[in-house]
Amino acid sequence: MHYKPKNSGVEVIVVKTLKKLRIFLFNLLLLALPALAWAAEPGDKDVPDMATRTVKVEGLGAINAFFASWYNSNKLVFAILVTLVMGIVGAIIAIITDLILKAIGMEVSKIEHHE
Amino acid sequence: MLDIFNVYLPIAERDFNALILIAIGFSVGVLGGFFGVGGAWVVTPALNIFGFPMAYAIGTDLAHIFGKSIVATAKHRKMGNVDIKLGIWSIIGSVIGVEAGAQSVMFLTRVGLAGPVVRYVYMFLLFGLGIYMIYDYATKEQRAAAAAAKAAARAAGTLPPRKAWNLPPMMHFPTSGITISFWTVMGVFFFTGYLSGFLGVGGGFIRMPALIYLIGCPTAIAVGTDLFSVLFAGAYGCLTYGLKGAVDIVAAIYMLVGASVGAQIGVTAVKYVRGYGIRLLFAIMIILAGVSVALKQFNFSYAAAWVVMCAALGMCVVIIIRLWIGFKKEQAEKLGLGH
Repeated sequence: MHYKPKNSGVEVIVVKTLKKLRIFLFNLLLLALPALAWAAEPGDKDVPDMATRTVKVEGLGAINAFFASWYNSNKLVFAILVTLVMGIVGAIIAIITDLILKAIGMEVSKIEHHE
Repeated sequence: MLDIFNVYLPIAERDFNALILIAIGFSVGVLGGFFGVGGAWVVTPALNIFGFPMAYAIGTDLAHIFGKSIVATAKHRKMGNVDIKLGIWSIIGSVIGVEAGAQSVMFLTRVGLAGPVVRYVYMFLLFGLGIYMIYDYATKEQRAAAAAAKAAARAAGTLPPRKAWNLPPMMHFPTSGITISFWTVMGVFFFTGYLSGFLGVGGGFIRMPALIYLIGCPTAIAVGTDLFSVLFAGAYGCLTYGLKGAVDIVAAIYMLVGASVGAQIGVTAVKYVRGYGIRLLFAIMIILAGVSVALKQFNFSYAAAWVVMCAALGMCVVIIIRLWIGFKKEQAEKLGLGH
């Protein structure tokens, strides 16, 4: 019959702490890996730079003139405008299409996931 | 004859056919809603074919992708297909990965190898993923039988329990029903982000299969969660390209009109097609995209653009037919229950 010595309370705590420390250090090591990505110098993306370009406003309709004048005067406001318009137009069309699909019986609710 | 549909684009300062913009938006919307991808790899060559000014193509495309993703993500959420917690982690991991990928491309550019290396990696990825997914589809019955036999053997105690990579901290994702190591999650999204940054693409077509095969999500949840990530990438792209003055807002609105309707149709189709069906169609689509990239590599740019556009249109038709068949079947079942 084999004799298996019982670990004392202190030994158990030490083993548990070392195990936690090992996991912590391994986590730290893995966290450090992406930092290597920043070792190289950042580069410019292949985006055409039109930040200083202006467009013609004369003779345009009200909506086109509105977008064109913001494009010419302030690119930040233009960018925010583009983002907001996309979100709002998308949401409005989604609501209308949803109503149409519901009317023809294609409404959706929670589905079961079959593979 | 179609000139009556020409509209003036105030930022690009030229006329362009609104019907073409709506049609491109619609087809990419259907694909995006069904597969959970942004679809820039279809839009840019399609716009190129019809002579849209390329300086505005990427920015305009990203702007409409943002609007479309809001529509598609909201609908997928209604169907219980969006794992928001997983989506947030995917954004965090991807941002780090994209930067690392971009740095690698910068290095390759400095040594003069960026073009061919990126294109060959792209081709390898598209063909590799597509072929693997078709193989996975073809062998699903055998694998299900083998898995059942193994589970039975484990239950009987004749096989040791399966060992899993479970380095703490562990994370639980209730919507997807998975518990997985934080490091697996971060590793997978870092890797997909890296590829996305390396190839200069949105990365939806890489993340969607990664969510299925590496994270273990059900297919429909992978589609919805991927769209959630595409939404944030689209918003960032829309803002940053807007700042650079490279978005034609009027063209983006026309594309968004088509894309929003298409996305609703694509998302609804997910309800009627089983997970493996979505995977098979996705595999066919990315193999055709791979053919397009291969043609481009051998300087057949025009043919490459037509291949990807025809593939997108063909796939749209297939998805709409599957939706219609599923819808009719559902109606018939409801009527049958009613009697």
